Amino acid sequence: MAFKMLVVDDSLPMRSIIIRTIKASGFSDTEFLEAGNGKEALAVLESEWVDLVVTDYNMPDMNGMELIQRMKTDEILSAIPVLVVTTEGSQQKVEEFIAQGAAGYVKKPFTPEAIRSQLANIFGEIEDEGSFENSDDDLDF
Amino acid sequence: MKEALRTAMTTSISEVLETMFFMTIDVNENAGAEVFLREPAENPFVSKLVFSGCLSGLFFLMIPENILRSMTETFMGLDPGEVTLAHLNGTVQEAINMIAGNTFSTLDDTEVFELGIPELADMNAMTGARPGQLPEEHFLLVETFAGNLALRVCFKIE
Repeated sequence: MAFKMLVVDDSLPMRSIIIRTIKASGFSDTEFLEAGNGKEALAVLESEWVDLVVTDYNMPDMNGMELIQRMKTDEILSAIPVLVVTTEGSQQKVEEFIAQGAAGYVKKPFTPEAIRSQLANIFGEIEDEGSFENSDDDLDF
Repeated sequence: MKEALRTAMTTSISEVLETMFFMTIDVNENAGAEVFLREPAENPFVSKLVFSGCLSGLFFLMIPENILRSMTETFMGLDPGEVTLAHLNGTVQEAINMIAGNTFSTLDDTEVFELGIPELADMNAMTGARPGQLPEEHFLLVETFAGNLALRVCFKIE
């Protein structure tokens, strides 16, 4: 099944590794859109439907928490699950993300298994030729 | 708190470099900036990050270009010829972001620390005088097979 996902992070290298990790987690056919902060993400979401938003917290202009809050006040966007991938590790922040409506949380540094586990919680188990077991990618940890 | 921060920094940089960059490292907690300056790195890339909370201050991370290139290739899945200056700058900034965030959640995950946006800096920031309002510091020399990285934090306890 083909998905479309939006990856929001102000770090180009981090967006790249998140996309590679998701692809290797059984989502090899997924189309990825990218944004550098919450504002850019909302602009993308004005014209694109996505199945998942993966967002960092600490970004310039609009952080990940504000992005979730804005999405949850919109009738259409509130249906899109949001996975937070961030260096923020305090219990209070994690509880705040979940309270605001995040579907899951992964702390950086992360393993591919941590991402895959969250994707399985959101979409159910996915199997395709791009899964870890069959992947020729470098994500063999 | 001061020594706990040093321990958390050591744990954090090991976790970040091993998990995200597949690097095996040794952290020399006692080397200090003097040892680092004896063998200056070639083409160093430096990033900095402001933080606040029950501790406030600045993190600095220095990575020589040869190591940073290798880290970037691994991190982004790029071939050597594909790595650009923007990729290198992005990697050194993301590395300090993860190291700082992981340091604080290792130190005390019941405390909230606010992290700034990572920025690029120069070697003076890494080796220069401590900002006057920050009375404490730690300096870690991180040894890898290809050379040394360095992590510095200047801070005060609020």
